Amino acid sequence: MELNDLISKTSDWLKSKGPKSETVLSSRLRLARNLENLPFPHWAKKQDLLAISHRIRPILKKNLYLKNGILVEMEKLSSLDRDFLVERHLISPEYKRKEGRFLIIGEGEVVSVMVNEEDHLRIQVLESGLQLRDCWLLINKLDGELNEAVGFAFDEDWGYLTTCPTNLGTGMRASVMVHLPALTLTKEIHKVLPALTKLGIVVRGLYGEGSEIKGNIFQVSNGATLGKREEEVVDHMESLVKQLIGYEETARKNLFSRQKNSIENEVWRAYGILQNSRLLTSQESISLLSTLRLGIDLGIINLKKEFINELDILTLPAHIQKMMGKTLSPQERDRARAKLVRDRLKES
Amino acid sequence: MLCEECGNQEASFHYTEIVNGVTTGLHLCEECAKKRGFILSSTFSLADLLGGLLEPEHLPSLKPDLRCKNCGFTYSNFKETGFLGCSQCYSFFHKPLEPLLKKIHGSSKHIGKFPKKKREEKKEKVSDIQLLREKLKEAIAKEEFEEAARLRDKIKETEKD
Repeated sequence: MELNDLISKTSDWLKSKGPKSETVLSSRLRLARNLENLPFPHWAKKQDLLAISHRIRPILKKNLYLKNGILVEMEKLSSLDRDFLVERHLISPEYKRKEGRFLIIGEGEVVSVMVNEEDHLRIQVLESGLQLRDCWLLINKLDGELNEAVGFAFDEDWGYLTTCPTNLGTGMRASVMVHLPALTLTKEIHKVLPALTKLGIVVRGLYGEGSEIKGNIFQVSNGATLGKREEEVVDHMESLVKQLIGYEETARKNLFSRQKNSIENEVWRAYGILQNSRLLTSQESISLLSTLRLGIDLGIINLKKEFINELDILTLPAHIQKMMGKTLSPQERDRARAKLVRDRLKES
Repeated sequence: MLCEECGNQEASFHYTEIVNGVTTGLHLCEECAKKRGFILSSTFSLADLLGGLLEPEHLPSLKPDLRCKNCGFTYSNFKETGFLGCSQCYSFFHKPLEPLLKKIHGSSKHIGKFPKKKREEKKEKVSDIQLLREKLKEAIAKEEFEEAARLRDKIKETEKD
């Protein structure tokens, strides 16, 4: 398989098959791991990076979860392809397109590993719905297998040794993407978010650090990585997210019973615009799709959720250009996006 | 509630720290929270933040050119970037890092996953120490104090490894 094959495939996490998928889009775990004694990527010379990459590559390629996967050399990647992988949550925007760095993606885009990003290895498992526990079972097994083959840097007191001390210990970041339109509409979100922060939970936009919140989609992740067991973090996150879902559901019920007409109006208007527009910016489409998603969940409109998930990704700038097979100006993109959405709506 | 620092403004920033099970609270106004580095200015960078946490109390004794013998990364490199240079840097910069970790994570002790080999090593070590302790008890009971002293030193040594 090659990178371009991904565009025609739907990532497993977009399939809306996981538990609680009416509010939770995806669950993600990542582990930061390093080789003993070798300089961390930011401090490593070119030959060090190449040596690390050569040592890790055959081990990853042999691994059961990655065997039939796609290997992407970062230095050979165009900036469009880089953006494409960022939009698919397979790499971070900071991942450099330079030698000694590669990404390997397993089948269905569930498992992926970035080599020589901030740490020597960034192992990721991404699944649909609220499935952090499943993600942990999978990533724990994979991590164990890789450790047998490589031997990760580890200290009894400080755990897994990472480039940045903020990841030290478990090296684990658990994130859940949640769709919270009703809490946003009722402005209750302003009460919920500070409470989460007090519990050591970090809330960010769709694309991690520094990204803004779009389409009422929030990324909720754990803060500390030292002094807590992985299972404890996963359980804590799952129960917090379930509470968050509870708040969202109550807000939806209240909203629907008090403002049924205006909600129905919003949903059908969003549908109308998406069906008919000739130019559509990515900001507008993501916000209209959020309204449509709410409409599906409230039973106002009958469309498949998977269809919205797919459009959320496909309408992003790099995806539009990959589908068209060339780079486009912003206005050309808006035209192509509008057409894509119209065509897809006809099919659904 | 008034700010615990200046005592003039209303406290709007509430900070709880749990270190080894001991909870301490701090209630500050926005201004004082900013001064203490709890609230980030718009020119926020990770290095600034970590540097800010490191700076005041612990470091007069530490030279900025303190260098990791494995990779050559210096302590001032760390303060600039917020990153370490290699896994061994953690031993070289152990002293300033320990309190920093407590500030970042509320703990400085890993209790999560151990790689298989390390887990086994740890089990062996724990059972070695248990065995030595039993022998020490016996030696004391038999009033063999020279042997007891030797065992005591050995336990200390094994614990350190």
